[in-house]
Amino acid sequence: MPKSYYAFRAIIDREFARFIQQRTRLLSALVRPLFWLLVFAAGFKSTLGIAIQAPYATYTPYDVYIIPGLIGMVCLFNGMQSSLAMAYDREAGSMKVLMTAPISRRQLLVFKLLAAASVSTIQAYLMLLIALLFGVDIPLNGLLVALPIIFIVAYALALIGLLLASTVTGMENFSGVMNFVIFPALFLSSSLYPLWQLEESSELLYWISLSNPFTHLVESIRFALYLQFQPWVLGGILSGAVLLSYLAPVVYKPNA
Amino acid sequence: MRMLFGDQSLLSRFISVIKVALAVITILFPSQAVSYQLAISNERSDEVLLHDAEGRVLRQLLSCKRPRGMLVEPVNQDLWVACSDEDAIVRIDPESGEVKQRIAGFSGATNLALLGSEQLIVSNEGAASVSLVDTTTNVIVSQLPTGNEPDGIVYSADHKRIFVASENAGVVHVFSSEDFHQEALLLTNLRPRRMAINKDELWVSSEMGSRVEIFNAASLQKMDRIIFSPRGFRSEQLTPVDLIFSSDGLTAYVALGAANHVAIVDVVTREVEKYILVGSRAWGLELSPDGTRLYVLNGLSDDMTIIDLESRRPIASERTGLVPHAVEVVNR
Repeated sequence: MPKSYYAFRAIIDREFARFIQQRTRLLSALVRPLFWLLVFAAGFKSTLGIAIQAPYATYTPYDVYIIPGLIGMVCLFNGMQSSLAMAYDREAGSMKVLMTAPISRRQLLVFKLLAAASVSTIQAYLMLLIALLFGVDIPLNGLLVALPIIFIVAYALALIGLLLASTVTGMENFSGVMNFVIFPALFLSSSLYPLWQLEESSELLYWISLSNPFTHLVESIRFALYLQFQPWVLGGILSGAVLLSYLAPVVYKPNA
Repeated sequence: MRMLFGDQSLLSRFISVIKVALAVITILFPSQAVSYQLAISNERSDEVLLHDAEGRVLRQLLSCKRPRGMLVEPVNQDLWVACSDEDAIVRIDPESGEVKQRIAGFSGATNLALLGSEQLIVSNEGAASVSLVDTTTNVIVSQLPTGNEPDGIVYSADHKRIFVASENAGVVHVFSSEDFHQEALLLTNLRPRRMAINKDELWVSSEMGSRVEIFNAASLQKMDRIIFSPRGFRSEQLTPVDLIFSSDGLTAYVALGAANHVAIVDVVTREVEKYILVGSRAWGLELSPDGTRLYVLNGLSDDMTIIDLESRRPIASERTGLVPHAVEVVNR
């Protein structure tokens, strides 16, 4: 077995051990989207269903509409939380220990991102399972087809989190960035309401939301769930992820 | 591919096996595609459009002012259309759109029903009456008084009685189909619109009563009622209009108007099994000939939602003309 395999196993095992041991983290990762789904969506159930937009072929109840957005929310929060953990690792010095592994810094970071994306994907599917148990109408064949897309989205969001962790020094500053990144990314996107509804209220907000990468990540999940693909969007996400993965070791300084 | 199959000949052999398997499957399980089309009357765009079974518009069949109720003659499959603002009814070939017959003299013709093979009964919204018309001579042979704004017309299962709902009067008139005398008057909840017969039961939708009332078609006694209450809607939004039964008579489908849903009702238990989201102001309903699809006309969103009845899920919504009113299966 190559050395990188053992390094990858060690990082994955560490990430999963953290995921399993931190039960409150898992609970909060599930409670957050489920709160939106079971409480917020109940209040807004009858407000949607008045227009048809791709990829939907007919009118869509609100609880069905927000499912891709909630998957994105799970990936976004977990990606940022993993980055927070990397900031913590950096401050605690454990990142320096990891750097002693016989692999390149780029490999190390990519392995960390793959581990974070795996955890995000598992969390997303746990959330989907609970949504199905509550009777939300999710296409089952779409769940399988969307798996690689959800993983890519989770990887991209963990990567964005990593770049943020690289540029911010100190735990206090990073938690501030989380607030300034997560909430705008979530609310200025198509995750919780369709953009045409935002356009009716404010054209400026519509354009900001349209240029928000999170919108396109969520839309790629939405299309995949309904067995449709937007090649340009998917290509953009993949090429962006590859480019940023290449740049990550340049900006991430484990001893900052 | 070479890694998987070694060489090209093995790959081509594999493809051949797949082709043979597909051919066997096709022979063993032939596709049971049902061929039919849909005619939809559109009140505001003054046209009857022909759609395919997937809901796509094929062509215009008829242009007349405010087409509303329609029916298909069982023998020759011709389509009768009530052209309300022309005070006329028109018989057309549903394939070519050729007008074969036109009978005038109905004040705001709204709905129609066949009476035997040569007579039609037409509700006159503007005259508080229904007209009996002999289609062989084009002569209106009789005019029966009803309440204001008569709409739906149905027969009892034994064809001995005719029921006419008058929406503004809140009553259903019961006529004998032999001598056309009025046998009874059923008092209903607010604005009775459409009716459907299931064995000995008469179901009447009450548009402003958020309910369907069930009468015994023989004794004319009220038997039951079903009040609709999907979550998140006020009672004034629940405006049921069209209703239709599955061919086995065990399930009823009710279009809930401004509530933008169709209710699926268990006929035996009277329980609403599911509410299905459709477009804005669901009115007209029609089942596919094989009973696997329900077509729902959405009057204010100008489209038709197609519901797969096996999964009980809406599968698509397709554009219609403006304010679609009635839908009939044609050219089957």
